[in-house]
Amino acid sequence: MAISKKIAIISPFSLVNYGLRQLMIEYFDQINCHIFSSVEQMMDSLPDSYDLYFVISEPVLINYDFFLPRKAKTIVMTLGSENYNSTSFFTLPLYSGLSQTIDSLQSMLEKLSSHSAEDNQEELSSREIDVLKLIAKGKMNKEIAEILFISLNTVLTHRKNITAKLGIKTVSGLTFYAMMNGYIKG
Amino acid sequence: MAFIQAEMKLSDVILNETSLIPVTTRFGIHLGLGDKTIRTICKEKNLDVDFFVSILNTFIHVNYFPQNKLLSFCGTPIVDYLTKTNQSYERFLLPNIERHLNSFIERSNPENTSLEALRKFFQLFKKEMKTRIERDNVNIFPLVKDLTNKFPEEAVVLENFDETEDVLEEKLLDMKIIMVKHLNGEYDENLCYAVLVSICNLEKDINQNNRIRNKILFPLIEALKKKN
Repeated sequence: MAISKKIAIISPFSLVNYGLRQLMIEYFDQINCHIFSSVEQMMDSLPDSYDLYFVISEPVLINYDFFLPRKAKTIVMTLGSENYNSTSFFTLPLYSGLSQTIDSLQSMLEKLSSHSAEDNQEELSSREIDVLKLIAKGKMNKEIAEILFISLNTVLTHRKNITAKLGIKTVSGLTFYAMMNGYIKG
Repeated sequence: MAFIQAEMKLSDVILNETSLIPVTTRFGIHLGLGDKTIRTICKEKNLDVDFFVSILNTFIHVNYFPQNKLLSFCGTPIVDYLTKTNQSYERFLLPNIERHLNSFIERSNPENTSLEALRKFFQLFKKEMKTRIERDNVNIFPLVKDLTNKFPEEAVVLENFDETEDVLEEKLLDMKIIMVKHLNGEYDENLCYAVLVSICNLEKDINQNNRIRNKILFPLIEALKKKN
């Protein structure tokens, strides 16, 4: 499953902040928005932990040292009068209609995911299938390690990879997956 | 859907949001609602209109959770609502999945043995769900009522009451994932969709009501214990 994106919304206008957050929640998945009334306030809360910054133009100019190196992650919310074309920051005009705003947000988020998302559509390795069979037979991690002559840590790594590949978390889910695919008898 | 208010016609609300029907049924409200407002219907059925509206809004708005407001209602209506909720899982939502699943497996290629595994997985889930409901009925709900009625000496002490809570939901999610990502062989597509929809309905209902369980009911037990 995709990792959720952490987003900072920075402006003194609470209606803008909460409105943007609401749009994000309504139209996009895996979004975690944090609202700040000023850049200073955000600086107190791990400013580098965000995947995206939505900020109005004035604070960007004042905090140019912070935002310039993070240009790819910064979106300037413009009121219309500012001219940001020359600076090549992404811009989000606040006067746009709803559909246009959502389209812009979507393309920004897509750009962001194309960097981070990996295609993890993979088959299980033969070793992982061995581990899966033993999980399905109700063996504990320690027993699996002994049977396969591997360390407990290796078993844990295999289990983590199996869950990541299949998307299935619970032991019974894994057991029935193994059954469905004929790895064990039902 | 807009925020629900007492002066709205319940029929309009339900036309907009049919997933509320199982919820209103739990309050003993049946279809054939005419043009009556929520307030009128609650008066007729002798229901607390604030409580009813809060539950409806909590159910449809995923991000809305009026914890303080809900805590202000005493334990009894919350327990009554959750009791009815459990009954509707047992009588309708679980049998719904089972019915669709059975005809899905019957109508699909009998050589597709992977579907039988799905049936077994569901049976396991159903068994655990019934165990949880049983524990609610025997331990948790009477405890809340006892505490609310201030008979602390008769109250049972609960240990680890939410221990298995998340495992159940994870199983339901896994069942969905197995179907969407890992289904193989020939199968009846239409009935497969019906199975998935019925699973999603139960999942949504459980998730919404877990917020009431975890953030209202369990804190209420703690608070009542201290008060007594």
